[in-house]
Amino acid sequence: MPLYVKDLSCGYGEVEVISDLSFEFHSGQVLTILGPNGVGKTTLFKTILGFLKPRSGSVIIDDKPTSSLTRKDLAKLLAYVPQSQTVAFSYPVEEFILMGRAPHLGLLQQPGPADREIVHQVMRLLGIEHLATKSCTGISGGELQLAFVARALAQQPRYLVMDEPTANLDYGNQTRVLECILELASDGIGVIMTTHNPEQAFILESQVVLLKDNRSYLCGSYSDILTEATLHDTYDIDVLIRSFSHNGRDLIACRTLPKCTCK
Amino acid sequence: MSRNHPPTQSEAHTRRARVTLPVLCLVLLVAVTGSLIVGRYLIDLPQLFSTLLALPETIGKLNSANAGSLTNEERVLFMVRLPRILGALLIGGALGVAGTAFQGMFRNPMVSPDLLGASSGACFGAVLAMLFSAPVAVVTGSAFFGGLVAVFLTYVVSLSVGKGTPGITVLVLAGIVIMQLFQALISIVKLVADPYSQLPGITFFWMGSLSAVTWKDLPFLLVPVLIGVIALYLLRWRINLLALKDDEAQSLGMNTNRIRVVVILCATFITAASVAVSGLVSWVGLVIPHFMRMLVGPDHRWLLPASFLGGATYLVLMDDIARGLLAMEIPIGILTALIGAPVFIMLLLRYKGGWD
Repeated sequence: MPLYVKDLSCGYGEVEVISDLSFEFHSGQVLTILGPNGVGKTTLFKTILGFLKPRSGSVIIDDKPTSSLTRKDLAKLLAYVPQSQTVAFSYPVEEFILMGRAPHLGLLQQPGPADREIVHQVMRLLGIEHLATKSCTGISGGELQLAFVARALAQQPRYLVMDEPTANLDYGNQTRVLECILELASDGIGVIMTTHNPEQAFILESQVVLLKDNRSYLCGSYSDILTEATLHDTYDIDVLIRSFSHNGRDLIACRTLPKCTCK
Repeated sequence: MSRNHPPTQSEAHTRRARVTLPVLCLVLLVAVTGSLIVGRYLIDLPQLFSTLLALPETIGKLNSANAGSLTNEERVLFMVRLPRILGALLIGGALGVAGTAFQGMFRNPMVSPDLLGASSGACFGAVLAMLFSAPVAVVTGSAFFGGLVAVFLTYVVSLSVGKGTPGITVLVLAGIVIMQLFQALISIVKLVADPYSQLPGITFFWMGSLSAVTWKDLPFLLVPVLIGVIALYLLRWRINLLALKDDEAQSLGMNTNRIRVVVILCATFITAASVAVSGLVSWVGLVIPHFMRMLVGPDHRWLLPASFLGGATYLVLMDDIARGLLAMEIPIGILTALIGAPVFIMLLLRYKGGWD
């Protein structure tokens, strides 16, 4: 069953940030949410996750609006991967990932061997078994980001919602996180992510929601939505998009063309 | 990603935690045994064991009607030392657990029942009830109410000052303000209390003392402490999850607000029950969680029991000093404050933003 966003308007308090947004999205796909700073990317995904109530419209999974689900049931469908950030306590990575089992446990229940087995599977999948006993405060930013992904996967959700999963990561780790997203999608998980970098939508060959300043938006496949014209429109800069062939595959790449008056 | 890591503490913590808890139990047992022996009336170890072994026969004589037929050892052990030691054990354990719960919940290693105002609030509630010569149960209830109001005020003040996200410093500062407020209210009670019949009792209570603990007080301590500590222990894994940011914890299906309220209620409840019996015994809830976290790590599944055992041992030993060091009784709150203040300065030096 796909995830539908229907006529969704969202915002904080009196301020409406996003109006009448609709799209549909299937598990196994990747959806990137793009747009300039302050356009409402965070507001949108917080509304999808249920942290904010929609001002109107709804997010529908399995024919049910998410607002009718309990927080616990929602957590079994949608998992949230926040931006890589420091963790307040020095929990071992394995215990940290184990927290993802919370929606499957009763309030007073402790995680058991079956939960640990799921955690080990997830760590194997992401190739981070060697981190199991390391402290969350003693690993690198890239490793911590993977630990957050692992915790979300331990929830065994159908959709992952990731807030700028590559923020604060170096060039190599950014690409590794994208590889990981592609693998998850091929395993049938739907990944919704925000990003500041349209290039990532090309690499992921994803669905795109492009939010613009005037509360209008575009959505569809990356190749239809992300054009030189729309990117110029959205970010007010010049962008070059070229397709080329590499090892028999047709690829598309984009780069910006900064205006420079110094030469 | 890089596979070279400096060795971290967490592995050692988990392994050590399994060993530490039995060791802490043993240490507590030794401390209790030692405390039964030491004091103005010296009882040696063989005497202690023979008196304890004769307990089945003495137990009938323990009610006050037959107290005259008790030997000196029996009277000192059963009527004076044992209730006092059990009181110290329960209060120390309760304050240790309350401190751990507060610190875990506020993601803040520098809060404690004292610094959040819970202790002062509870103390004010208790002395107010004492002013009206209320019975023990009312003193406990009034202490609970006072403690709850104080924690609530601290939290609200820090929320409004910190604009929704109370930082470590804001929370501590707000707590100090509320603590001072309740200290002022306590002073008013002292001012209006009868200087001959009430003031000495209230003053001694305010400084914290276990000298007046009797068997009659113990149920009012034991029942609330058991309820609160067991409830917190049942929630031990969920308290771990409260360390996450709020929206993260919610995305894991947690009703964070509800759990937070339950944790605040339990921790305040056991703090208040302790204060109602012993008066202000400060800093235990700050010092003990800190050292126990160094020992067993931040996982509340180990940290909560360790804090109970550690707090219990600490206060039993402190009370030995309080009643044994000088010819006169030293209020135990003074001793714990003398130790707590330097430890807090050490914490300020160690924590520069991070947890450990």
